[in-house]
Amino acid sequence: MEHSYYKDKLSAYFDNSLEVQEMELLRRHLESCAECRELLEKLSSLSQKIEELSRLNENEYFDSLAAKIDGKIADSDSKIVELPHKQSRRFGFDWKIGAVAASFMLIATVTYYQWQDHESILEEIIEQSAKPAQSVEVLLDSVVGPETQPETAIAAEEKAADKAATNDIKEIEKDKPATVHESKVKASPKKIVDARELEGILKFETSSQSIIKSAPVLKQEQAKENESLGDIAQGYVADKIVIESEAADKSQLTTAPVMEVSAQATEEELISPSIQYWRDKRDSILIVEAEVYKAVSGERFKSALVADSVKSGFSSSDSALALAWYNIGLLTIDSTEKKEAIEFLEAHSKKSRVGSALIKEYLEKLKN
Amino acid sequence: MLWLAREENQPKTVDKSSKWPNERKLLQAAQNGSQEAFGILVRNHQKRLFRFVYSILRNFDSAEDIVQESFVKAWQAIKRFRPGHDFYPWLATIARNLAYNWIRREERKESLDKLRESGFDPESTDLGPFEKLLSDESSKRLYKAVMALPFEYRTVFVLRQFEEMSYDQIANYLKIPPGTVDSRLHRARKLLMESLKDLLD
Repeated sequence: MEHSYYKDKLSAYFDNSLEVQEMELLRRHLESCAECRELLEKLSSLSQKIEELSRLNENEYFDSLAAKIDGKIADSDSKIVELPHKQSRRFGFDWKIGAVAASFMLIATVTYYQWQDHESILEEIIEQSAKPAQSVEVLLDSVVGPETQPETAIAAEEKAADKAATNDIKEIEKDKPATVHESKVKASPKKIVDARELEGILKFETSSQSIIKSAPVLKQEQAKENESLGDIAQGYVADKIVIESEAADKSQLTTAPVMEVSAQATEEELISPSIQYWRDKRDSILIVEAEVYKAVSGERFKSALVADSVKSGFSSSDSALALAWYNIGLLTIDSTEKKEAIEFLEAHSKKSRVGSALIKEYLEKLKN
Repeated sequence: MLWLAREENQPKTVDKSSKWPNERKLLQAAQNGSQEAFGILVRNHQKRLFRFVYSILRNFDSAEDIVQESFVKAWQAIKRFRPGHDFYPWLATIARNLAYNWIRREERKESLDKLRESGFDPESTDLGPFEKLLSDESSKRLYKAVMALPFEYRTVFVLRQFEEMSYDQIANYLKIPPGTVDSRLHRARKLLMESLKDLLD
């Protein structure tokens, strides 16, 4: 190969950042090329010189800077003391309710799939409703839970999204949203999933332990077929509050979320008003939405969902999704991703009615 | 000889942690709530952090703000720091994110052209108040040359030179292909070698 090719690779060679084979090729070239050897020496002395000359002196300035930082830290500490822990937890708790409710929706669906083998829910309902004792209404309730249940999920999610919209960075940092595992979601909707798998589908990043703890509860409750799912959800939530408050102090000391320095995404997510947060949020909305829509084949549900979005012109998950995309667009340093965000918002500004004003506002801000 | 010494593919890493033998203890104390211990960490790392942030932003006041904010955020999140790891990379990640947020805000203020100006003119670069942190003319010349690098080159160069990130880490962080990291770094070094020729001899 040519000398100029190697010459361009010297900088990477210097950093030991070439493939093993290329490193070897370059090493051989260096044996025979004085010019490249000289250049490599120069690279090395440049690096040394920069390290040497770039050190900052002026201790006085840094003494005063350190003192300023000390002051800010003392300040931030006193603020932390003033703010009771419960308050900062609230946001995360809403997320948990949302996710729990969503998981109940899925469980309801799963129960339904376990219970029926046929292609469509309607066929099954017609068949079953031929039995004189049961009306279609009762049957539907026992299959997919009372109608209010999915709304609870959506409402909780919306609430969380609204809170997120306030952009309280501290809260976002402390309580990360539930993230849905993609791999699980790719599974066929007809597949019979059990409660254990659901754990995987709806898993909290920061509180996976509590979900695992709750798994047996879910299973037991699932067995009680006649009980209303809404009641179970309420009971579960109440349980959860107890667990939360009991564990709150201990977890502070022992199970504080640990940060993996090497994982880029986690770092980003932890520290900045994070783009990763919005990416996760977007993904989890899309995944949960797709799952729920696929899984809920009951026409009554679907029409309720549709009616809801027609009424408002804008379903709650749409607005949450638009908000997520908007923030991704704002935060990203990647122009392609920004374009994606703008494209999404543009497509949706045409689609929805009431929400379109909001979306247009987002778009305008993004384009500036 | 340098090129022979590289034969064994030894990674070029400098163990910065050994410079602060008590760092683990300081971190432990800070995690247990000692502001004093954290204060020592601040003093140990602020210069390096400042050099990094300023080199990215080229704006003294903002660099100062971001250094302060980084330490405050690090303090607030100190319980989430995993013991056994080095403190600086974690701190620098916080600072990097804050610095990029700042750049984004600046971009929105349409000073993007300023940030991304492509001309390379080490003579005309004004270091402003940053100059007072430098001990001699050579240091000033060095920084002027680095600051005169176009934004894209400078970022890659600073992440590699000051932060010792690998090509893959830089590529991942800036969302550019590793080959681009390579070529930007190559060009940045070429420009610097030219403008600092006499310092290198």
